[in-house]
Formats: sequence, structure tokens, C-alpha cells
Amino acid sequence: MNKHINLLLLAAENLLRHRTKTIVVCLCVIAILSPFITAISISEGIREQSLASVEEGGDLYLTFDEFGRNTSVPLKYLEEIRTIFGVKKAVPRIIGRAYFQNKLVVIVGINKEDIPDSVSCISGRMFENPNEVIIGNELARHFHLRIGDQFSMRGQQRKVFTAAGVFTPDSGIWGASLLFMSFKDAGELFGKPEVATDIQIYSIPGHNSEIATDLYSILMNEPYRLQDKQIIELFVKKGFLLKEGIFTALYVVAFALGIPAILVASGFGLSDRRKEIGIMKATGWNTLEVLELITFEQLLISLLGATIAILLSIFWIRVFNGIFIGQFFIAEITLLPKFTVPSKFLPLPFLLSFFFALLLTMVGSIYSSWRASSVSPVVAMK
Amino acid sequence: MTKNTFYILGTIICLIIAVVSFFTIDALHSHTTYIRNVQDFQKLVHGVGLGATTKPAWGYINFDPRIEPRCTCIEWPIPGGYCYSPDHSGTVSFISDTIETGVLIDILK
Repeated sequence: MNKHINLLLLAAENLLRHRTKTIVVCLCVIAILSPFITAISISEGIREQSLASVEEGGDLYLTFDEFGRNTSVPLKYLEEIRTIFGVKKAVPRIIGRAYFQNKLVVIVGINKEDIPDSVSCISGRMFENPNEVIIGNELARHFHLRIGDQFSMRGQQRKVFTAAGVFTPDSGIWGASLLFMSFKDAGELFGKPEVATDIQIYSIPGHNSEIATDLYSILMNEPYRLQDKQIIELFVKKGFLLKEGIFTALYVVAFALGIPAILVASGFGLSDRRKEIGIMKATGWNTLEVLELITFEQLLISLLGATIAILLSIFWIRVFNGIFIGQFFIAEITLLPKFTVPSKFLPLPFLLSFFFALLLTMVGSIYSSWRASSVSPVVAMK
Repeated sequence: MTKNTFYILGTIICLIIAVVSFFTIDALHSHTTYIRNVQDFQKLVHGVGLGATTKPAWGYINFDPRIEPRCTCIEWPIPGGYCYSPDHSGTVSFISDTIETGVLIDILK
């Protein structure tokens, strides 16, 4: 046991003795690992928000179908849908997009009675009067809008709105460029007062198939699409898992390409290392002890690199809000995101990163060290 | 143990403790206010947004496939053309076309 501890201590001392090599290898490891950890953390953060979106959405999601695309649902069916046994609530929504000056915004219109009584994601207040809206944080900052300001925008009709509130920066990425208003105002903006883009149906658990059957008899001659929460949740989880898998696969390639880089960096000063190993062998070290020493060195470098990489990633995302890097992982955001970039740091990516770093550094050094320790000490010391 | 060894090992141990502490605190707090605001927002709008894009500039599929579950790039500008939407490949999410509906085709021989 003492022997192993002594080897560990010697390995730590060797890191300082070969300072340049340690720093270069560490920097290579940090440069390779930081983007990987950042991408996975942002992916997990957005996935967490997505699952909240699925959770708070309806159990059944009804739209009409036209030419294979979703189209609006006439409101004349709404009351009949509400009377179906098993339906707790049916919420019509208008979701569209329009231009506010030169910026594309998402418009969401919901009836006031379908809105919760109190929410914490708004600074200001909920809209109470006609033409009052809640503005996304990014929009408010871009156009320097404050609560109480008036502005006009055009969908099908031109309307003048008053900002009653602003979504907080941490209310999610989809609230950043969103205008939230009453259903009536959204209908007037798009010139479609008697339709909804979708109806969210909240049902008593276990009644989805009966509701679907009753819906069929109500909407018999209309082409419609009914999606349920389970399918959506499945596709969301699959979508994020697939991308995380692709990122991981790409980074395995990057790691593999990093091996020659680390090989060069680890072999930096290789001739001195060979002499050092030759002297160690000449003074009684056996090959296994030499390899154990090298292993401890790479373990310490990997630990150093992986921990610094994750702390750098945490700092970059949580303190600097993903400046410069966020736009590579989230579409339609600026260099300096004006909302809180979602992130969730999990132990598994950190462990994966550490093992990748260890593998990289070991491949880069263990073979050359074994070769040096296998030859005669006289040859190694030349 | 020399002073240098102590510094190196001490630094590594401090870094590991910092990382483990961060994970522990993060798991315990789970950004209470942050998660509450996210859930409140979703409760307010009844679930809007699923993919890693803030706006449906190219199409709704990666923004929220519930709104439009097909990628419209297949229809225009060139019908049947290649889907070059950056939303599909340039973000941390990729939501494929849902296949729960389709046209039943009977092949008559």
C-alpha cells in the first residue's frame, strides 16, 4: 500500500517537474471536453423545460387537417367538446407568428378564464383590458419596451397594444420572443375571430379513448388530427436522446482525433522521458512500477483537466449565460442571449468526460512508456 | 510529501470537492425559483415550445411539433426538395416528423 501511495506522490511531483507538458496536455483536454459538457448540459436544460411544456399541455391536442398540415378548428365545436364525458377542460388557443417591426414574434392568445389566477413568471400584471399584452423578455429588451408602453403591430389587421407585463428571463426559451394576449385580441390581429389553431383537451385519466370516440362522432365529416400527451412525450424524449447521441458520437470522433494531438503533447520531451525511465530501470524499478507511475500521472492530469473543464463550462453557462456558445446549440438566439440559457449539469457527462480524458492521455503515453521501459536501461539512457 | 506534491494534490482535491459540491447543491435546490417560473409559464400558455429554438422561423416542427408535425421544407420552395432547415441539424434537439397519421393505401392487384 505504501508503495502505491509513494508512486502517487511521485506522479504528482512529476507533473510539476514536466510543467510545460502538463499544462499543454491539460489545455488540450479542457478544449476537447468543455464544448461536450456544455452541449449536454444545455440539451438537458432544454429537455427539462420541454417536459414541463408537455406536462402542462393538454392530455389531448386537437387540430384540423388540411392538405396534410394542421389547420384551425372552428369554435362552433367547442361547447360540444366540453360536454363530452371525461373532458375536464377544453382550452382553445391561437398560436401564430407575426412580425413586430423586423423581428419575428410568436403570438399566443388564450381566453382570460383559462389562465391561472396567479403566476410568478411575469413582472407587471396579467392582461385585464382589451389590447393588453405580456411581452417576452428578449422583445422588451430589444425594443426598450417597459410596462405601460404602447406599440402597434400588424398581422392581418393593425392593432395598438399596451404592455401590461414582461415575462421574466428565466421563464423559458420559448417566452423570450412571445406576445401573450387574450384570445379575442389574437383573433382580431390575424383576422380570424371564430377559429382556434388548436384545442387543448384536459381529460380524466383513462378516458382518452372514449373521448376520441365521441370526438369522431362530433367531427365525423371533418379531417382532424388528435395527438395525445404520451406520443408527444415520446417524440420529445427521442428527439433529445437522438441529438445527445449524435453529439456524443461526434465527440468520440473528436476525441479520437485528439489522440494524435495528445500523443504529440504527451510525447513532448519524450527523449528526456526515455532517459528518466532508463535511470529508473537501472536503479531497480520494474516495468510494472514504471507503468503504474505513468498511469497515476495521466490519472491526475485527466482529473485536473476534467474538473477544470466542467467548472469552466458551469461558469460559462451560469455566470456568463452561455455568451457566444449558446447560439451553437439553440436556434434563433443572439450572441448575448437575453434570457437565461437553460442548463442542467449531471454527473454522468462529467464521468464520461473524465474517462474519455483518461483514455486519451493513456493512449498518448502508455505505449511509448512501455517501449522505453521494456528496452535495456543502457539503450534507454543513450 | 514535498510542498509541490501537496499543492498539486491539494488543488486536484479542491477541484473535485468543488465539482461534487456543485452537483449536490444543484440537485438539492433544483433551481426552485427557476423551475417554478418555467412551470408557471407553461401553465399559463398551456404548453408551448418543445425544441431548442426560440422562434419558428423555418417552421414549427422544431419549435413545437404539436402545432405543425411536418417539416414544411418538403413542400416549398421545391416540393419534395431537400430539407435545409438549420433547425433540424443545428440545435441540441431534433424532432422528426410524427408518423401517427397517414394515408392508408390499398394496393390493388
